[in-house]
Amino acid sequence: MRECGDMEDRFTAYLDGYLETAERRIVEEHLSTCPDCLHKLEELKRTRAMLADLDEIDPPPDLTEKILSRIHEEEGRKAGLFRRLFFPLHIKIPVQALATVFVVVLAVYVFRSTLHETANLERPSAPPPAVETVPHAAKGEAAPAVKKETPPEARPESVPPKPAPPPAQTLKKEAAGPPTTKPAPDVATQEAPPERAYKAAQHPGAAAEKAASPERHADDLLSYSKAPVPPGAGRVRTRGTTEMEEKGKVAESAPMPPARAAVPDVRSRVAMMSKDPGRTAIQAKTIMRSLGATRIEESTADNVSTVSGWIDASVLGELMTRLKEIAAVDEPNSSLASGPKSSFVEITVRGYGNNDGVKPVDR
Amino acid sequence: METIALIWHSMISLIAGDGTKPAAGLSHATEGRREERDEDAQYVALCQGGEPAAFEVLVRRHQKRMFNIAYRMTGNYEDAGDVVQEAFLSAYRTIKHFRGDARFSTWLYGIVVNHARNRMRQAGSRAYHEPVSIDDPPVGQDGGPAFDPPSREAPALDVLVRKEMQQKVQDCINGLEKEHREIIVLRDIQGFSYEEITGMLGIPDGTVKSRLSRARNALRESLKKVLGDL
Repeated sequence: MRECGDMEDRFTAYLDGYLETAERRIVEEHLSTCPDCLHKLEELKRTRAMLADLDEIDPPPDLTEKILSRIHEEEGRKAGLFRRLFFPLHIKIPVQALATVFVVVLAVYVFRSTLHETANLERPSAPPPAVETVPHAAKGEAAPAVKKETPPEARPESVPPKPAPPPAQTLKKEAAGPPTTKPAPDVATQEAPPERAYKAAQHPGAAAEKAASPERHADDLLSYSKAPVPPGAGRVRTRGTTEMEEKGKVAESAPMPPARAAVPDVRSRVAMMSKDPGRTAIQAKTIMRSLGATRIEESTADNVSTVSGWIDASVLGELMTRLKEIAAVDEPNSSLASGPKSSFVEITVRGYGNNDGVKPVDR
Repeated sequence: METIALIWHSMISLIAGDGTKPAAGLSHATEGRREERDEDAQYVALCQGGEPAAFEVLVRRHQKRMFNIAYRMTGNYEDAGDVVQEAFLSAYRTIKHFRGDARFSTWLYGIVVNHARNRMRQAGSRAYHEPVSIDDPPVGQDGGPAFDPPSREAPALDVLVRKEMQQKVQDCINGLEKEHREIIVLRDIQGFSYEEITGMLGIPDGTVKSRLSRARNALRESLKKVLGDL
């Protein structure tokens, strides 16, 4: 029986023709002597024959369409919106190129627009002279006289010494760079000291901060020590337009700067050329400070920087000499007008793009 | 252009019926298969190169055999259609990973066997392990498989007897264990070689032999119960 069991295991390979010749002979010898195994083998043959005789089934007629439809769906899912937008190279490359150009242009624009502002924010390393106060002439007789004549409280609001420009206009003027018609020195002397005084008065608690940055606040501290606290001190002042509005109000209420009335209207102009007008303007400002100039103002726009201030007439020559050390001075367009004691100086520094014929030489 | 012409020509010939292969017997694995392999490789390469149209040729060429494998394994006409769709979709998704170590058809039929197995697993034992009864009515044209039209020369009674007999055999197949069922379908109905079955099922050659032996004996016993002496 054991022999029959072994034989049955071989029947499958025997029927399929997978037995070696020797094994095949063994199976056939056994079959010739074992009717039971022969019968089983016959049944297996018939079973195989019945299976092989099974008809082939026709698939549903729409099976192909269903399969292809699902494959197309799969394709559509793959090609999502993003892929459809960016996969074809004839779309992808121009879109990427345009995006690159856009980014570059934007970067250049932002860089150029912030360049001058950044330069203006820079401060000279040397601290400002401690003597930056009112002009020399103002220390004399004129200041008390003016103060006595027009105390801030008594002066009617409707008649300010110089009407402050509307806030927007003031902002525009500052942002637009050097004005085509330079305001008279009077204007600067009227507005600047009261504003500094007002700022200092508004932030008396910030003394420690100002002490930590003396360069930035030296003018304010000095002016504050001399200017009365304007009405409305303690209010929170906002930036921008509000500052300009309050600037005008302070100009109305603050005492007149003492020097201006006695100073003759003398004006010196220095035209300079530089690769970097902003930087040169800062250097010029530093020089003016070191020579005792007061009420120094600086503005920059369109690659032209302007520095103005009041300076002792006796140091005008030295000022010119030191200015020539930092950049080229356009002497034909420069004029030094020396007053009796102090002189208003306006230094205009142009970039090479605004060259008027002078060979720019930076030193 | 050559590619498009090739695909077009193949599709025309398939639609016309040239590519339809008969149900495989052992004698089928000869020259025709070698040609089929070569042509499959060509279209597979096109698919892998980004020509989805070439896949349509492969679908038309293999869908009938895949459907028969699925039907004989699941024993259900509708399930077989779903299984074939899923199998082709899987093949389409993964055809880029087909390396050509085996024949494409072997790879493809292995996929349909896997999907048929999954379908049987989902269905559980509800239908597939029901005892076979000779009283079960044969499945009609509407709800059951559509058999090939019989020859007009054959008497109507013979056709009915043949259909009934085939349904009983199918019922016996359905009553087998899943492993036995799939190996019977692949070897005795579709006529794949042991080597091909080894590739499709991922089992060793010895296992194919022993499993096939047990499956045939089980089916023999089942048929004897249904039909009497064989």
